[in-house]
Amino acid sequence: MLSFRKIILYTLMLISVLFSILPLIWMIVSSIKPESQIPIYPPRWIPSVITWENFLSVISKHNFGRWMLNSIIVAGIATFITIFIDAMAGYALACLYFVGRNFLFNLIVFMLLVPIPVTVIPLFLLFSQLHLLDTHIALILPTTANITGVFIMRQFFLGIPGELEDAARIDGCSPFKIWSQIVLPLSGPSLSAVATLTFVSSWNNFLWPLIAINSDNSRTLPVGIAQYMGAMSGASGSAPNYGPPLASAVMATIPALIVFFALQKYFVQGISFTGIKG
Amino acid sequence: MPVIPANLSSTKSWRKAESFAGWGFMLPYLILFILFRFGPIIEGLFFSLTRWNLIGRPTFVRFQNYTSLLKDSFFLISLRNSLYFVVLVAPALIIIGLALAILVNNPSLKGRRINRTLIFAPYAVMSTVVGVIWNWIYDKNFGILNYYLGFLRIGPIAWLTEESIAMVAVAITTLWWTVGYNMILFLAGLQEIPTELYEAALVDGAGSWNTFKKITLPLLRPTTYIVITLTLINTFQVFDQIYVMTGGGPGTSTLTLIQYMYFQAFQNYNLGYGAAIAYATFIILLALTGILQIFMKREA
Amino acid sequence: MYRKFFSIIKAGLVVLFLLSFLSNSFAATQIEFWGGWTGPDGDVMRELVEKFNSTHPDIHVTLTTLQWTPLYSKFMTAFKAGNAPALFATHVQELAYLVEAGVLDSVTDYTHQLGLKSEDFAKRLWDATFYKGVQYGFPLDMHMHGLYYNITMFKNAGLNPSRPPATWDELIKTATKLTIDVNGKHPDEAGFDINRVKQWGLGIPTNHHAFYIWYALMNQQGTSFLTSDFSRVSIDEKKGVAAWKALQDLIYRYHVTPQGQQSPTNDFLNSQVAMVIDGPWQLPAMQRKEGLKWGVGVFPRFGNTQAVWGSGHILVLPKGVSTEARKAAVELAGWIINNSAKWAMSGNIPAMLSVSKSLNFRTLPGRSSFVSMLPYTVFLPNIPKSLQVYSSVAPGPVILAAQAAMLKDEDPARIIQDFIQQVNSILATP
Repeated sequence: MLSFRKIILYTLMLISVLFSILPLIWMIVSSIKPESQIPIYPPRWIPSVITWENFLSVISKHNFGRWMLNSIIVAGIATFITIFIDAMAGYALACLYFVGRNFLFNLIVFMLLVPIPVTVIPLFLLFSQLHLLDTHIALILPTTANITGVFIMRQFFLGIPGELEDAARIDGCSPFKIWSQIVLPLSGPSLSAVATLTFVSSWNNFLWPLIAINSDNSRTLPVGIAQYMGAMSGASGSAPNYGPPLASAVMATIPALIVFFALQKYFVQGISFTGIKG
Repeated sequence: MPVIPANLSSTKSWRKAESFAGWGFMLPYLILFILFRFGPIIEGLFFSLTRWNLIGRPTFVRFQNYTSLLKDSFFLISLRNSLYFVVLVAPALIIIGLALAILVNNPSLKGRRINRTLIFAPYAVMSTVVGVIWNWIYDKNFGILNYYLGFLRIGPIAWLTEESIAMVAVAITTLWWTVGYNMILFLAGLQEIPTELYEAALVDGAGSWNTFKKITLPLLRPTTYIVITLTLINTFQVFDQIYVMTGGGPGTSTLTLIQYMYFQAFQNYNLGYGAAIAYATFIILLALTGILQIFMKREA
Repeated sequence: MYRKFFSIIKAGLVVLFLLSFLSNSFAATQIEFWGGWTGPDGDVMRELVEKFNSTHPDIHVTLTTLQWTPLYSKFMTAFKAGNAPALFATHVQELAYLVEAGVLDSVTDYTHQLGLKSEDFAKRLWDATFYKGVQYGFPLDMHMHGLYYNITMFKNAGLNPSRPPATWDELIKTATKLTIDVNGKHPDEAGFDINRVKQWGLGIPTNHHAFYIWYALMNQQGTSFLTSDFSRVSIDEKKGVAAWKALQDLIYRYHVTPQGQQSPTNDFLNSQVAMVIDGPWQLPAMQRKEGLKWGVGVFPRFGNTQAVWGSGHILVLPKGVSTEARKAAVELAGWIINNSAKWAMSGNIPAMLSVSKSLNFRTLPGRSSFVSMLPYTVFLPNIPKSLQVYSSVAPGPVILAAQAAMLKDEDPARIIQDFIQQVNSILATP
């Protein structure tokens, strides 16, 4: 029989989990209801009729598949680039001594304090001059200039026992060889953490893609689905529609959740703060 | 990259090689960082000294934007709201994040892995979708929240249309959206504490609260430090949820600094003024983190 | 081992990169058309664009719909980058802003080309396409506030469903009879429980549309809020207060409207509210709702004259597009206007008189009341600072005034003072 204490703990856990997933379940359940049955009162959790019309409507009327593809390409490439450059930068900041290293690290982390929206217009002007607006590159590059990833990788490399590197050094390995053949293979969990965070962040990015991308074919999901979202929040001037926004919300969230579930196993191991291997 | 021969004992050459390698490793990231983060930040600073509507050319006005800010009642309101939001949500995010991490770390509970994933799942949802879901939940007349509260004879509460409540509603949504992130950070920190310490404490007969106070908390310090700082930064700069849920309203009750910046820069096209708001936010945040640092160092 | 891993990655990257260059065929002239229709009205426009594309093989139009507010943000940045859409939809009160920003070309040559004449269109809308004597837009449609009402609820309350309230007093009386608490009591009866109301009589918007209603009530009293040259705010305080009070009383004195309504029209669609003030863009949603029997009446008269807030969509031509794109855009604009009868399905009232007067159109459900209001529809003043003054996002003066009145029951004199101060400061900055 479970102890009283265990019951409390399980209850707390249940409440937390329910709090987290009930809104998502509500979204999914509502998306498979017919349009007229969504804004009903009293609300029903179990739909009386299940329909895929909302999903079909979104896919047939809009460039949804295209937006999804764009988001995948942009997030995928950005993540790929980021884990490598962050692994390199993190290693340099942790293990390779050079003049100004600490100053550089502090400067980088310092930039977290500047609100990101302020970079939107300057970035816009830059890409506009380079005639790179409306391209995937415009969306990929700013994401790679992230800060938390470098922080996480540096923390990880700080925790690598020095003896490992010293041994390699005595053997005559160059820093690059040490990095790529000894240290990097150990960094799977940290790379997973950085990959997850970068992917999710790129996937969900709204403000910059809104400004940087014009043509519908190059749009990413958050901006694409915003095209029919406004009507749902009750802002008059356009009629409300519930099904399409909900269906696209479901479809837009799934890929990020997949990446997330796949990598989160390593996530927790990948983040270390003390550098002590426990 | 130069290969250092095994018989080279000169530290000076090694240092030079290391320095060279260091910069080499930094370079790819550094280039991207300067071009797409640092550079735009400096350029934004320059814009804050101008008046510009995007279409024309910027006119240099020195510090006029900043002096106007001091007299701008909406700026002061948004500053107050941002601070209010931090006070409302940051402690909860930190404490609940820690509590959840401890809960999920407890080896005697089954199903921790899946629960941990589920609690973190909202973090993967995009802001537009967060808005769709929660505007729906919070609807005064047929949102499910008020429906269930009705059974407890509470309400109906005007979550998003009542000035005194709107910020609380946004705070709850923020908690839902991001507490998982703090939980994961704390969890990572918890898992670095050697289990032998806990076993030793158990042998010594220490109760769980004492264990927590004397072992867990102190060893969690680096993590706690980071979580508090990141939470402060993120809550003070809140934008996405406000934009999709209330747009700064009702009235000005959820008008935060960045929401106001968005209003000025992207609605009114007062780009210079909007940039000034962003930099004012930065300066204030700098001061806040500075105070935080002093406070936390003193605790050490 | 690493080699293989890296080469797979490289191959994957190459594939991804190549995929990213996919695009439509280049044979036809590609143009972009932007508008803020995000609901079923957007679907109607989408169908129209598809039909155009299929009947015009040499032109391919891509329609982008985004909520009006972010749409404008996007438009300005797009213009700056030289990527403005070839055809853009805007509202009549925003024309001055766009022209003064220098982003529009005049349409005079093209109206001649398309054979569009002023006699063919609703006068108010045609006139509204002109700014400082030059025509900058093609007139598409008009829309204004109307009074939707639930026929079933009327019958149940013993009211005549063919006679919706026409004056403000009738509105209050009717709404009172239609506001019922769980015990069957009305707001004017003793024992009325305001916290347990089963059905409300009237729903009114609590956002910028509340301001539009106030504006209508001001016009009904023969006044507005700007001086005739639009340079300064000038409000007759007595009339301004009376207009706000009329709205606030519905909630706080007569208790026929619930406080803090987020989406009055949703409440109406769900049969929780018997009447609602909203525009014709809701008609498709009304028609779709199963089991709802509804009608539309005119906007009630409060003052000495009839007036109702309205606006209209006009199609404009941004500068800086290529000659082929411009040609295609003009063709698209003309085609859409000539197919106004189809656009009428979105609920908006086509500006083309031949359509709005046609029997086909008038017999569409709910249209006739809206059409009858065409002669006295008033537009918001078309000022260069319209985006800032009329902003529907906090802290724009219009939305602040509306919410202070509807959500907070703020003292109307105070609302007007704040409004005057905020608008004047916007108008004063260069």
